[in-house]
Amino acid sequence: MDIMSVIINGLSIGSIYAIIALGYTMVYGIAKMLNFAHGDVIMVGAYTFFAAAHARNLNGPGGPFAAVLIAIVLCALLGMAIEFLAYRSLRQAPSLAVLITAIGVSYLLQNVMQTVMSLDGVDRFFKNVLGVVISENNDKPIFGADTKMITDLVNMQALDIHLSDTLTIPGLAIVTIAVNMLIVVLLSLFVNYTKMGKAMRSVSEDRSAAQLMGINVNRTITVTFAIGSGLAAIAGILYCAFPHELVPTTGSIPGIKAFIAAVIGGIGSIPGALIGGLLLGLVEQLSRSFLPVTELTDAVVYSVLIIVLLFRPTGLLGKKIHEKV
Amino acid sequence: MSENKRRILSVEDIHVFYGAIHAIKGVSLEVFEDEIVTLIGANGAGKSTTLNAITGLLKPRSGKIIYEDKVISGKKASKIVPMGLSLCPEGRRIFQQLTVRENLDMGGYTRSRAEIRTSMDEMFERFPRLKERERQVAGTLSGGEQQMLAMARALMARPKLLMLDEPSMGLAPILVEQIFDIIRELHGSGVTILLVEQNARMALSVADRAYVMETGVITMTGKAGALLHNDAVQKAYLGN
Amino acid sequence: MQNNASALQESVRRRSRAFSPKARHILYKSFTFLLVTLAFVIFYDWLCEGPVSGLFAMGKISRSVKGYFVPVCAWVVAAVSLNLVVGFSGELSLGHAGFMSIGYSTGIVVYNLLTKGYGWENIYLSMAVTMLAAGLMAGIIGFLVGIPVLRLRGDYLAIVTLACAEIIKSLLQCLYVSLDTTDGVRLLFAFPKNTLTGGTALLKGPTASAPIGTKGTTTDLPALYIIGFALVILTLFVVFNLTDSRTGRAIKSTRDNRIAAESMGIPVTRHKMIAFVTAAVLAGMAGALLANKSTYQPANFNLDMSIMVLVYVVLGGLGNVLGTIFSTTALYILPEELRFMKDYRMLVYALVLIFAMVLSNNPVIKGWVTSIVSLVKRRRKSINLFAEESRNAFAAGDDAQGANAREVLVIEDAGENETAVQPEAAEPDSNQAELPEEVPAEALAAQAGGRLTLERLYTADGTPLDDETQRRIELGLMLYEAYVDSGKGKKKGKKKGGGKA
Repeated sequence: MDIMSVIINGLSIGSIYAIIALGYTMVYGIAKMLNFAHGDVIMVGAYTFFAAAHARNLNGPGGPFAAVLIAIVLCALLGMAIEFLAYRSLRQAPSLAVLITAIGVSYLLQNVMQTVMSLDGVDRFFKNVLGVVISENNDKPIFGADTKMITDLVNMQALDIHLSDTLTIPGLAIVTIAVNMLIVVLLSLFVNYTKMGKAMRSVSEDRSAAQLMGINVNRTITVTFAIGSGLAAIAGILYCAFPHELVPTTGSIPGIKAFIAAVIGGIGSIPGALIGGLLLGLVEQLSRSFLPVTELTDAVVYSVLIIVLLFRPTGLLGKKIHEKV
Repeated sequence: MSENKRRILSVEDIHVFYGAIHAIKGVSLEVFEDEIVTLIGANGAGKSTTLNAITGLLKPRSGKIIYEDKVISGKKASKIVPMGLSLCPEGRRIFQQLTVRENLDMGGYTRSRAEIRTSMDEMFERFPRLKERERQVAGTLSGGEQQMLAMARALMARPKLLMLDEPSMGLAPILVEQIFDIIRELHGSGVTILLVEQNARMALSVADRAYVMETGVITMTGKAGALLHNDAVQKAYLGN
Repeated sequence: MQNNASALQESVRRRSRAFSPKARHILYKSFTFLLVTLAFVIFYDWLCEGPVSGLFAMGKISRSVKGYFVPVCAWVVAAVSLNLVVGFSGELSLGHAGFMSIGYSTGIVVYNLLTKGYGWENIYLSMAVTMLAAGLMAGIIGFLVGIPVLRLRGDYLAIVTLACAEIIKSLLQCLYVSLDTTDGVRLLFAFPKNTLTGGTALLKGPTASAPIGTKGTTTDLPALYIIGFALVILTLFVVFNLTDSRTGRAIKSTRDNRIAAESMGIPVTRHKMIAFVTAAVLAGMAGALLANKSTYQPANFNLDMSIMVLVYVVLGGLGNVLGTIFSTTALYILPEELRFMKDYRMLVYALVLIFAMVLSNNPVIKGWVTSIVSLVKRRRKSINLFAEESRNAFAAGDDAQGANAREVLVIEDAGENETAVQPEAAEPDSNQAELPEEVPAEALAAQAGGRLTLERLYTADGTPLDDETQRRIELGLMLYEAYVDSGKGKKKGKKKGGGKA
């Protein structure tokens, strides 16, 4: 495999990791917690997208984008709900308790989707209530198999850049990388120039001092979760386009990888999430191509984390922590 | 002596708990317009806790806090601050990773863009040292500069009542003098001040009235001058 | 003064518990051992259809129940060893499954080497050596992992343990081991691709390994029960001894306050390493035990498994060995038994987790619990209730005395140490105001512009205050009175007329 293709693949998947990592990093910065359930929001986003997309007339102009929008909004609401129901009352709790709760939420999301997917009434519900045909043979919803839908959505084939006879940059890669860059730019602008964004930075720095400025901490945290989860929806949709099979456990592995990426880049730092994600994607794809056995890929990827932390204990762009003696 | 001075703040018999620890056991105090009132006492007496309770960071289990005829006890800090109370917290708590300018910007969070601009100019006039370091990251400022920044930030909200929690902490004596000069200036320009201090001498020399706090209760109160010359206070807090 | 203090101490002591903390701990440990032994005896007997099961008419042991004991032993060991790291050393490890995996793989190789290769027949001896080898291997890897890991803090430590476990998983997926008995006994290794030919495959890379011995036959089971029981007892022994020793106390101190421990000269990293490596060794042995009853792939020893063990630990109580035993047993058996909810059991499990964490950590609920507990333990911990009572008492005498209820003194509960604190000084503090020996009350009163005497005030316990404290309160009140009378303050309610002598 030609190295350019590998690099492009690396940047593509790395972009997805970066988008997910942004959610982890923002939530960690502001609430000082590892939202273990973030990876599963990706999965929910993908499912929501497919359900919505099936319901719409794909030939119409706004169709697929509306589905994307619906997925984003729903995931944002989901993120806010999780924060309010599970994490809010644990603000003062030890981080271990919060982590366990997050794990619980993660399993909950996976299992709810599992249950929903296996219930008899699901496709009937979709057909009758939403006018959507989900399953063709009344067996299971056909979400998992229909990843082609995404590539058809924006007719990504048309965006392919043919650099040479042997090298094509797939349209999907371009879209993914472009979306990622756009998100990072918008997010940075938001965080640095808007009132809410500045509030988020302050709350990340010092929660009580932020309150003394008149900032409503609850609202700030809620917005952070909403943004992170909304982004996760986008990541989920793109992830499934690669293609990846969509099952309730789909979100776990990219979730963990993105989380590692966030830490590599420096948790709490937005540019760090970007760099960590891209780096991780590159390392992963390069290892996969050049190592004798694909199973060793993970070993390499996780070793990168250890190596980085050995030299930069708070990640590449992480902030120095001064412990009060 | 002027009876026509308006009472700005009234703390009435508050009890504050940290879990099962009874930190504030029935504290009452008052602050009138244009005064400097100081709350002095040893480490752990509960002075910072009192300020935190007034400003809404802590919720008193019982008792009332009244600010300008409105009951504020039980309200959250983010609701209390826009009403005109501002706290310059213990240990300064400036936003380390933000610049001086951004810190001041955050101070004016509750106000409009235009107001922030005006106030920021005022702050830079009053604190020229901060103007010099406008774009510098706050964490790199010296102790005295950080204290100035913290005070300026608290003033960005244009408070009617400014509360200062141990502004002299960790500062060299000459800087402490400077800070207290600033406090006098502020008072002169019409800001009411509630000052918590461990440095009893400086506090009593600048204040109008004082409360002495010990392990969660107010044990003495009176005119600052009187307390300055009181034997018990002298022995305990002024090192005589 | 002195008799007040000692009277107070006496009354507190009278109300204190029957057992000292040390005695309670010994009771706890003994109970744990006893319980485990009892469980073993009952199950072993049931398995072998011995006298005890006949006594309780338990009938023949069912197939599923038969299969629980040994895995539960293994998971208990895994959980208790993780508790060493998380509960006693205070570090979150998300990679415990990695050590179990190493123990598992080592166990398979060594056991087959001994039994099929060298023809060892005694299962006890074979398993003993196997588990030792597995523990040793896991311990070595634990040490190597510990070097980079334990110098990190908090969340970073957790993430790196996760990464290490994933690396171990990844490497084991590429490991192939065979036993060749054709020409003497040899072990053949291949990494990362399977280049082995011939011999019996033991570790087959990413696919499931050959289990140890014969799976599920009754002839092996009683022996395995004994081995499992022995491992649990060994674990309890090791863990209790470690945590109760001087080293153990040092480890606990690193958990509670790392910087304080460091400044006392305790080599923090070394102690954390001791806990970490011990836990790894025990986890490895547990892994070897697991190899007997199930076929796992290296991929099974993943984050989900590490989390499962972590949940066992957390729900059993950090630092609570007995609790961990209960939680592990319950959480292993219940999902198996609740077949009727098979599809929903993971859902229920997740909900239970969330609720358990939220309910036990919610500050509001904690507040209720504390106040209920203090109502029950009224006499020992009700500081606020004392204040409440005293205040009411003073309010009643308020009009007569002119005393303001807020001048009440409260006895601080010193907590576990059960020593009463002197009423006039909650904390020894050099800055506390101390009245000079002789203060002419009149002089002070004159200075304050008034005179005030109170009837003798009482502490919450009913003991009268000493003179010094009494005078300080009077002085304070006098100053306040002066302030009020000067017109600067508004006194709400009563006008103070009844205070002049």
